[in-house]
Amino acid sequence: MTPAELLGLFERIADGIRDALLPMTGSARRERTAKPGQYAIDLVADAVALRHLRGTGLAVLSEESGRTGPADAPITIVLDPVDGTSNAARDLPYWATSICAVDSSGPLAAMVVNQATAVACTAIRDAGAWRDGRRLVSSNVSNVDEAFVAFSGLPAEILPWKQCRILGSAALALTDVASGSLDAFIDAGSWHAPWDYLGGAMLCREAGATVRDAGRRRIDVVDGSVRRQLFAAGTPALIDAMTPSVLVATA
Amino acid sequence: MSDGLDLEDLLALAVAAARAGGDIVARSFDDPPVARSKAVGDWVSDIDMSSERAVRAILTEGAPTIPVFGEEEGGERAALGWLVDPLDGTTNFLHHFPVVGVSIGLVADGKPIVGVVHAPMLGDTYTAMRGGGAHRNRERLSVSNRPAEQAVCATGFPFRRADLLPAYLPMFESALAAFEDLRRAGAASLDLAWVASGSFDGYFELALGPWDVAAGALLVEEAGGRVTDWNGDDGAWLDSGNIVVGNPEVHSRILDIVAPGPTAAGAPSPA
Repeated sequence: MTPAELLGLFERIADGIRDALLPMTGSARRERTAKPGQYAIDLVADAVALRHLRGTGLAVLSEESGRTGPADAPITIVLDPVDGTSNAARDLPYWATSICAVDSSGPLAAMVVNQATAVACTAIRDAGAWRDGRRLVSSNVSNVDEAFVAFSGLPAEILPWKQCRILGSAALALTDVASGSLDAFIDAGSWHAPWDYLGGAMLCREAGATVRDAGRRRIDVVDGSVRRQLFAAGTPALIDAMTPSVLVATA
Repeated sequence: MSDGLDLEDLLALAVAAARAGGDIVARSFDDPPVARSKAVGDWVSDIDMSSERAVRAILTEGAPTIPVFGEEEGGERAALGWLVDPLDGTTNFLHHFPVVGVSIGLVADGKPIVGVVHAPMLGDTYTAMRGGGAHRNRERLSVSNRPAEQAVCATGFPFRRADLLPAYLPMFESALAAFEDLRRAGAASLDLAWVASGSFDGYFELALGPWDVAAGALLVEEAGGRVTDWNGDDGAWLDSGNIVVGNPEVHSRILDIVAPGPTAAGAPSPA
């Protein structure tokens, strides 16, 4: 499958998930499963995605259903059907579907869609990141006191940044770093799995932003057991300046 | 002071004014102007000013005897008067985040009696009238009934009062442990509206302006929630700007966390 074909498939998956979840309102949107942190809408969205991916010859690593598809497939789709489920369950307009295709050279194509607003961002390796036909360019802010920053958890040190946000979706926060809406994103712990961040991280890098694990571990891994402490900024200078706010995880 | 007022008419007037301001915000959302700093962490743009002028014109024409106090241009603070935030979430607006609101409250003797929070980029209008319930686009609202351990609460760092940050941070950390999660969306009026709608279960912040909270706090009260300052006083939050709201259980839990907090150290009303 070519990158363009992959993005077409991702769009069909995202549209299918949105069509399945938007009619689910009220208690149906809020229903939890027996698994801690999981909602029924996570499973509904995963089933939609797997239906589109079945028979494509692609391997899949999903937050909800783990590894499926052919074990020897050259491309693996790393999927978070609903990132920010807590927001989705509460009708807060910041939740996403994140999809990233990874081959032997790393991330190949990605799409992150804010499902509340239906705004999609895409990236193809070495061809840039895009939204609504406009190329995404990360911000050029390099000073902490000019930075508009999002974080999850409590950073090790609160720096004198311009303002901060706590938004509840790492995939979208990374996407907002890619677009320049945010100057930086800080994960206060080593919490995020590849399905949470691979799509957003690819958007960031294709838009010129810098993405790191706080412990400098590899982030382009297709392994559901891995957790990373993501740290992204529009400029290398800003990411260096914000280093004191990151508590390096030991896990 | 509110005897004899037709609150339904005044609510309709406030809705019209909020939507006029919101139209100005929405038209500029994809191409925001350059902003200037009013104070640390506090920004104003030409759109704030334009929205306030549009809101003020409609309120003044429709209720000429009721004075208007706006965040940007000020005005007369009277026993009966409008409090207007023409663009709540200016930093979000400047960064293309759609979480922005236009907030209009009518206050009589220190209590809001009419409130409108309009979210132009999300297409929602939240309304409340004392004794008449809270609504979103005509749908009746009620606060959540989630227990504290399942609560997601909104908060805001006191960037206008950096001196309060050292006292605030331990409370933030305690709240992270007590609740399922915290959010900082960046527009107080919508934080309050989302407590009224049950999306958030509680909200606490320091040193806000009365224009930030008058309308949203009425939404919460009319949706069945509690509104107090950080000491649990339900008559002091409008002047101090130190506010705690939530469903009754979560409100009580937040008070446990924040008291004694920066309020004890004295957080005066912002200018």
